[in-house]
Amino acid sequence: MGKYILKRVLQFIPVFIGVTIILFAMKAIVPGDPISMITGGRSVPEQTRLQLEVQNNMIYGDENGQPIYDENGETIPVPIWEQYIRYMDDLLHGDLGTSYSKKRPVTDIFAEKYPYTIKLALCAICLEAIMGIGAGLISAVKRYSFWDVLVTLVTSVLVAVPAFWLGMILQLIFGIWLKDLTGGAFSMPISGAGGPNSPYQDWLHYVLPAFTLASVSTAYTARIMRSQLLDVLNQDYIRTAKAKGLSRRSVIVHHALKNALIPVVTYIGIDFGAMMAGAILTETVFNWPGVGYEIYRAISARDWPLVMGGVTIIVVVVMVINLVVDISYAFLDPRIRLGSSKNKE
Amino acid sequence: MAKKKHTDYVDLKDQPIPEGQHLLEVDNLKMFFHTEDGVVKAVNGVSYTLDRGETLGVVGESGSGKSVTHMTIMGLIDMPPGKIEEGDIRYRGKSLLEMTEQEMQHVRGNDIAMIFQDPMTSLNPVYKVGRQVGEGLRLHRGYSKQEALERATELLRLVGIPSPEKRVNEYPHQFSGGMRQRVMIAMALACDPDILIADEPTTALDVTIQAQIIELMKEMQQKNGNAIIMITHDLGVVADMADKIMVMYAGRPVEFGTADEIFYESRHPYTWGLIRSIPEQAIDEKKPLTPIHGNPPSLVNLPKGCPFAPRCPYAVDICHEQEPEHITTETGHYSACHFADDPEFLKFAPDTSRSRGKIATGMPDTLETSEAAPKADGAKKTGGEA
Ligand SMILES: Nc1ncnc2c1ncn2[C@@H]1O[C@H](COP(=O)(O)OP(=O)(O)O)[C@@H](O)[C@H]1O
Ligand code: SF4
Ligand SMILES: [Mg+2]
Repeated sequence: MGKYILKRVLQFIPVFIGVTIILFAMKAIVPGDPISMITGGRSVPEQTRLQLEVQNNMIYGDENGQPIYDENGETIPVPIWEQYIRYMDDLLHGDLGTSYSKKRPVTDIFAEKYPYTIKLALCAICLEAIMGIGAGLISAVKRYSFWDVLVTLVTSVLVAVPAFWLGMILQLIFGIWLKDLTGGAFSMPISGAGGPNSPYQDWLHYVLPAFTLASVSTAYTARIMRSQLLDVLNQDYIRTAKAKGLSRRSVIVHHALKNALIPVVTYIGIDFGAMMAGAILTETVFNWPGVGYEIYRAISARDWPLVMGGVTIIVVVVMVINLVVDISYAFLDPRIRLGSSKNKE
Repeated sequence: MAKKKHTDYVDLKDQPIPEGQHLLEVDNLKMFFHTEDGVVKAVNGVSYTLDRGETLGVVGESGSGKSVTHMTIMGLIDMPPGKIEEGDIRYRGKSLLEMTEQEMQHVRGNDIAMIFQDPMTSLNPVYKVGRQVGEGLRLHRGYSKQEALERATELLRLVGIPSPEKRVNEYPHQFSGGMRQRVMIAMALACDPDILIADEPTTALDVTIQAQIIELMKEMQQKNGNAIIMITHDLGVVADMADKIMVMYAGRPVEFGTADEIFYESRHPYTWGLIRSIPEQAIDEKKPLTPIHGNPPSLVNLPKGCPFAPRCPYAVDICHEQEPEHITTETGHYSACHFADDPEFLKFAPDTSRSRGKIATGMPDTLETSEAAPKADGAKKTGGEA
């Protein structure tokens, strides 16, 4: 098991390098002058401009941040590969650069935004796990009953409805039409601001975005749960369990459930990883101050340090979560945990 | 699960068998599946009796209803689509068909235990072997976890699994096929059942392992005195272990008698075909192996007359018209063939006199007949996502 984890962690390295190279290359390829992005398009004195270029690893400078000139009196551009090395060096020291548009360290911005994404993802995952597994369970245990048909219908609809549309409809219904009834509890603030003074403090504010975010994956969870459980209930070891004299309930609870849950838990885990990447659509529709919305805004503003830093953080978070999912999968399934058959006779 | 001890409950196996009755009596049992494609007559008039310590062999091609018959006895058939049409199953004089599901749960695994064909898939992959072997004891005897584990270790030792105290803590995938079938046997025998139903327990195993498993079952039977119902498509397998044999064809018992009667005085052409396709038998007769040609009939549209008629080399007009009744000798040996009491007809039977005692010595792995038959495994058809 330890070896397995080590192997998985080592696999992070090439992925991480690959992602940073792609991000770095994108920044280099995309047109636009970074300095004018930083200055917001205003013209600045030549000396300030050169200092900014030094700060941004574009030309060589001395320890005071002043540009170094060659014998012809020209500034010396930093080669692209050295820019990458410096970028990686900063990265590994926890410096993800400074946002062009917000003039604040990227790490600070994400430290402020991530809690919103995490809390929203946790709410959504709880909804997904409870409703998805519950619905799938009922659907499989009472196959072809009214409940089964209902679950099949609802999941089909949910899968087909785009999240942003569902989000808008929910806002319309609960936030606007039913505003008087709900006392405006579900109405979302307009600001989209995070931080300690954020208007997104009330847990009721989580209900609609979490539901929207979880909708499609809840439907999938229910379907996976149903088909897995039906499949497991047809397995030979279930017949063995019945032949022992266990009641139907015991057979399901003690013999079928754990087997059926293995793929379901994996799906939910991977989905959680995806949610931690920030749900751009849901967060945008609800002005949610999470990382998805932040990345969306950063891209629109061509705020490269924010995009690069943000994506880097997200990649690391998602990789760590997927590792945890893999480990828990192995924990649930002894065939993976302990390797394949030793075939002792 | 097993917190309550069933002190108020008297195990059926501890109750005396009523005078004049047998341990198990299957009486004209008919169980049909009502499916969209029609009525599948999977169990169509099965009758037999079984006494304590006895071994009954149930033989027939795949799809002949052997498994479904015994799943019905265990109450493991989903109803619907299954439905008991007629007949009775009496265990120690008590009708299993009249029992509630709860009463049946006491019988299953406690009084009557069953093991299945494929030991690779019959154990739950996510639980330790010790837990699975001890589960019946927790359920039926109210053992604690610890007691059940200790007894499971003991049982694994009894069925010949080396270092059982270590292996109770392993998972099924860490066992080989033969060892898993030993585990299955240990699990089935955990509560000292009266009857062990073994549904093709060796079919999925290597030839050498097959012999070991049969040996083990006989040994355990001698120790415990339980009856065995040994289901197989291979007459050779039951040759030296069965006291009685029932030959099934198309959901019906076509011949029933003592092992000697079936091997040396068979009165049914289908049984003759099965005998002729035992490799050792063919060697003795210096004739090539003769498989039974053709396939068993569909159980939905059974032909009129004798179900074996389309494949029977001796079929005449009456066979296609009229279904043969059981013709029974004074020893209880019956055969469902119109000519079962015709001495001239019985001369067509294979000459097995010279091979007396030899059939059993070999362990043929598969029969030609089973290859010709379509794969029709009941369990696979029962559920399945639509
Ligand atoms: N749930 C079911 N619905 C319909 N037919 C079934 C079902 N289960 C089994 N059968 C049919 O019953 C017949 C007997 O099957 P089975 O008892 O498994 O044969 P055997 O064990 O002798 O190989 C087969 O034709 C099979 O297709
Ligand atoms: S009744 Fe006729 S068809 Fe059937 S087994 Fe006897 S001879 Fe063959
Ligand atoms: Mg079978």
